Amino acid sequence: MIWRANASVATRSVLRTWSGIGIGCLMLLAAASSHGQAYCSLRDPMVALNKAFPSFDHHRSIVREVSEDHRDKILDRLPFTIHRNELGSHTLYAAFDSSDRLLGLIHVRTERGRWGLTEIAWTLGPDLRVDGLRFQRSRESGQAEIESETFQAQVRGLGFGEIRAFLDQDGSLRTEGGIEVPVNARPLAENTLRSALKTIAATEIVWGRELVKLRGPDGPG
Amino acid sequence: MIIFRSVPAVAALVLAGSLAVQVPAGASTTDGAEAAVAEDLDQSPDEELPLGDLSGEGKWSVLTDNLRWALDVAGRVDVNTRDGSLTHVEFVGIDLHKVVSTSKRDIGTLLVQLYGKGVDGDWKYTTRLLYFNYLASGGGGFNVRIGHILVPFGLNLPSRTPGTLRQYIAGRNIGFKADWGASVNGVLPEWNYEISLTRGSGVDFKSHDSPYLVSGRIGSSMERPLVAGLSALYGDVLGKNGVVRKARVGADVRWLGGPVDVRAELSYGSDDRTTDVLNAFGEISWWSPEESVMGYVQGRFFMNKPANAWQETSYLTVGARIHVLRYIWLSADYRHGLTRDSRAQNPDVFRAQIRYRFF
Repeated sequence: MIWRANASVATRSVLRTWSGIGIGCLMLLAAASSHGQAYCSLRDPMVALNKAFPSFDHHRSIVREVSEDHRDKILDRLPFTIHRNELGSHTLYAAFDSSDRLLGLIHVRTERGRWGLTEIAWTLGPDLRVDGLRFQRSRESGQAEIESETFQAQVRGLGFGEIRAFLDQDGSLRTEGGIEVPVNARPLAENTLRSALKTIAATEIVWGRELVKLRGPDGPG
Repeated sequence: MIIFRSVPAVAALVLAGSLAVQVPAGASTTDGAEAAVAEDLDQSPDEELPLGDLSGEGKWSVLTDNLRWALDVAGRVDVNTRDGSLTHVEFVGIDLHKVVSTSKRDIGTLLVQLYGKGVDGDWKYTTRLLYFNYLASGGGGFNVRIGHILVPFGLNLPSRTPGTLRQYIAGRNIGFKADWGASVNGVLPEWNYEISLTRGSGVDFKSHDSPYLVSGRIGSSMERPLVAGLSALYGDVLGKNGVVRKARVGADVRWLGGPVDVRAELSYGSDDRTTDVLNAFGEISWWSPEESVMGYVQGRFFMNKPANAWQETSYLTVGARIHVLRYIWLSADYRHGLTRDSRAQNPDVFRAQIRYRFF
């Protein structure tokens, strides 16, 4: 009986409080998008910046909103789909030397893996060719093989079209004539190459205006 | 102690200053390549394309550039299983993250988490986190954080638990998770560190009894599947019954393997130099591939030795979190007391929370 009485009082109190909060939420629902974790969990890819650019002196973050329109344009270029959760705010990091000369870009993408989400920090040159990659978080096996020089040497210097050639029509890893990787690391290799395509396409489409500015008049077109 | 009294004022100045230090980018050129990209983006070729401008045209860009913000709403019901009493707790707040930059350099990061908290309909304001992290060295190896910051000890860093039912033991071990003050911190290729000097009063800035807290943690890179850290703290921490001199050393470890995470923390020290303290925490969590479903089992063990005998309080918690819709997270947990002395046994508690987060 105590339980029921308490429950009744608490329920009325909760409803009273939440009716006010709920109205406010509904008013904002239409324009909403989301980020699951509190922003204090966001962190800059400082290790990736330091490892990728030994002469790195400072960086500049460029936060942009990946919209539905951007997503459609990215999808047009990819042989696979991307999740709606990839919409929202994302950051491109531009690395400079002490003379403010652009050294390259870091773009961190979150990919769905077999065991959970994988964060890959991609290093791109000003021309959006791959310089390297580094896992910021991964639960997958094969991480060491993908971060190895053997794998990275095969993707270094490649652009969108050349990396696309490692994958079949449906975006699966080609079984013959593709990238060389140990069998145990093939699932992660496929995920990584897909991530590279998505990263290059998104950087070009979402940050296109900023890239022009970053490259300067003498940079690649 | 003057430094402590001035912390809120300094934090306010940093808040105001960080919004004012934006340096407008210079005018852009419009060569052929730029014009081509601009055309591709449905922009006029001669439109200015500055960095540091979110919209490219807004007069508010100095505020909105590199800005993320979210409205965070949560409601929770706690059920005491011994007497059936219920408590409902609500949070409504703003979570704001802004990178303050010039045209070619990040200066630092401003984080603002201001909340209203209602307990059984009785509302009060609370500052969850409020700080500016200044990038003193461009490479990230030396930064200065000032404001209401997380105490660097054990699993309290990095921050993963704000606004969630799932918590570790900083609240019980230190007295609070966040405190007013300043820290130096940095990320090195293989290590990271943070050392802080804070007020010692927790959520609210209070000066009476002159509390203070010095704490620090050094750990291996957070990017590897296995992370280990060592921590220490010392100071007079202000609690409900005045200050308690706390001294602790601790070790923490976290490991990601397949769908399972393992976290553990052990700390040893004393309260008021008269009571030995040994606290331990262990957790195993399971994550779905998209991390939309997560379940965990936690063990908490708190041991005090005020005289000759150890007194123990321990709990087993089983919980889960589900991302049900794009903006909605549901969480629930059940905390069971394992304390052997029935007189010290706290009742079991069931909690359920709905969280709605959007921007």
